[in-house]
Amino acid sequence: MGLFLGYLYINAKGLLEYKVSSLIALFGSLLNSAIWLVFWWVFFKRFPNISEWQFVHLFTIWAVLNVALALVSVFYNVYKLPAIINEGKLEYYLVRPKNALFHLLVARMQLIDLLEAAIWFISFIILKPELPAILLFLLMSVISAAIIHGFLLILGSLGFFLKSADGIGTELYNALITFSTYPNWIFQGAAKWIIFTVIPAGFISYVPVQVIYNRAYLWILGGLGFGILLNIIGCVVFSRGLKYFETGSTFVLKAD
Amino acid sequence: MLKSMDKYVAAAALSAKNYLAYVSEMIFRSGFLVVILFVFVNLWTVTYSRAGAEIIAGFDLRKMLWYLVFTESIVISRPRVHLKVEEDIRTGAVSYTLARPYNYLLFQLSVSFGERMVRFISTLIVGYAVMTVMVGPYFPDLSILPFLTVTVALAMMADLIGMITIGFLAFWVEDVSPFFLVYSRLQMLLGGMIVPITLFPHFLRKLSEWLPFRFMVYAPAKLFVNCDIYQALSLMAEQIILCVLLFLIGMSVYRMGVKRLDVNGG
Repeated sequence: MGLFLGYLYINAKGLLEYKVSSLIALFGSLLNSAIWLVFWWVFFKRFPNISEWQFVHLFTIWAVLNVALALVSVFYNVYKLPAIINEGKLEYYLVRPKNALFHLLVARMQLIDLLEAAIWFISFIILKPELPAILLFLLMSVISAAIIHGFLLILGSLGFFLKSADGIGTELYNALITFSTYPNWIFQGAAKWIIFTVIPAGFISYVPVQVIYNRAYLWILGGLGFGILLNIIGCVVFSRGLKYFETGSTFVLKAD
Repeated sequence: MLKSMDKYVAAAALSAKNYLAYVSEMIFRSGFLVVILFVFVNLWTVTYSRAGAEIIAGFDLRKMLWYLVFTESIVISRPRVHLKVEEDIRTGAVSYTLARPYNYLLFQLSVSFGERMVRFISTLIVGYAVMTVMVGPYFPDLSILPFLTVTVALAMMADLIGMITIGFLAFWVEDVSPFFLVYSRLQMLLGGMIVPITLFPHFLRKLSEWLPFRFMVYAPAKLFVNCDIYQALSLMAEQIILCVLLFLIGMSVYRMGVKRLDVNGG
């Protein structure tokens, strides 16, 4: 916990140092989401009876996803795992008397994303000002964050075994995020299974809507279980990878 | 006049030739295009089926999907020329170009245009292959191909001049990315990249018609699926006017910026 708080303090100071560029990144992210939400608003205005879903459901999955991504950004190095492994940055963490995986995950935080999360959270409260829905929204955001984190941890840990893990991981992560921003009912046949297994976008889009709007509480257990499972598999792949790991000639002497 | 354009044609050809070396890598890294097309096929197949409509916003299902292949190819192929211009201004490299016998805007346009054509063709090949597997092949009318080629080239030129002009803002600000972000996102929505502008409600459609983005994305893609030579001719005339207007705006911004240029060191 001390390690986490220490890095939290350092990263918060860094955020204040680069206020303008952080705010530009925040603005960009919000603008991108806004454009897609306008698209969905147009879509549901044109096809109001296309499904039981309405614009509010689409807004919810975008809000849950963005809050979840902000929570994952607290462990920002999970995105950088293949590069850390392949560019000689892992050794820094291995020689410290701390858990190497936890240490490298918290070493870099993108805290500006938490401000974005707050904006999405407030927007959701305005949209649906009911306490149970707000609490379920928070819970599903945390579960979605766990799923995304576990997914990234598995993909990133493949960097121990595959030189191309970075490229493959980026493609699969982009697929996860893209699928997560569309309603599940557009997917038919095999795609319906894929979004609940290989690319678990269904847990980030369909499940939160089911829990928040239809009070399908069993899905909470399903999502939570899947998130824990992905993280356990990620930790196992990482520790197996560490045994397989051989250091190279590059050695970086600072946390990144 | 034509003779003086030779150097720009040569720069575009050289840039295209350079970029040909990366085509296989680019095709290999087209995962995002495959994913987004897969999603679009699912979304619009379900939408047409549940809406029980043959035609939506002037497009049947196949045309809608091929339209989206084309718009994605146009937008994804965009090089980051605004960042190149920004870097030239920030590092002072732009000052070395002042003495050279070329127009800086036209030179950057030529280089980025050569690169973009290669990127566009390879992206379109991937998109075509993916969509052919998913919904079957599409063969546009051969008579429209010359018009389509010119229209796409003009659309890209207009877009690139817009991007270079945004890069020129680096004479006043350190980071032009927020301006590009607004430009690209407006183009994404109001240019008709993610959905044809004919699907918009009245006020959004009016807004789109007032802005130049539809000439860069929507119009060439519509021509790809609705082969109409008369439409192509009027579109080309509109695009030429737009390119000239954007060029004049770009040159004005550049001249104002160069007057402010201070370079230290050597």
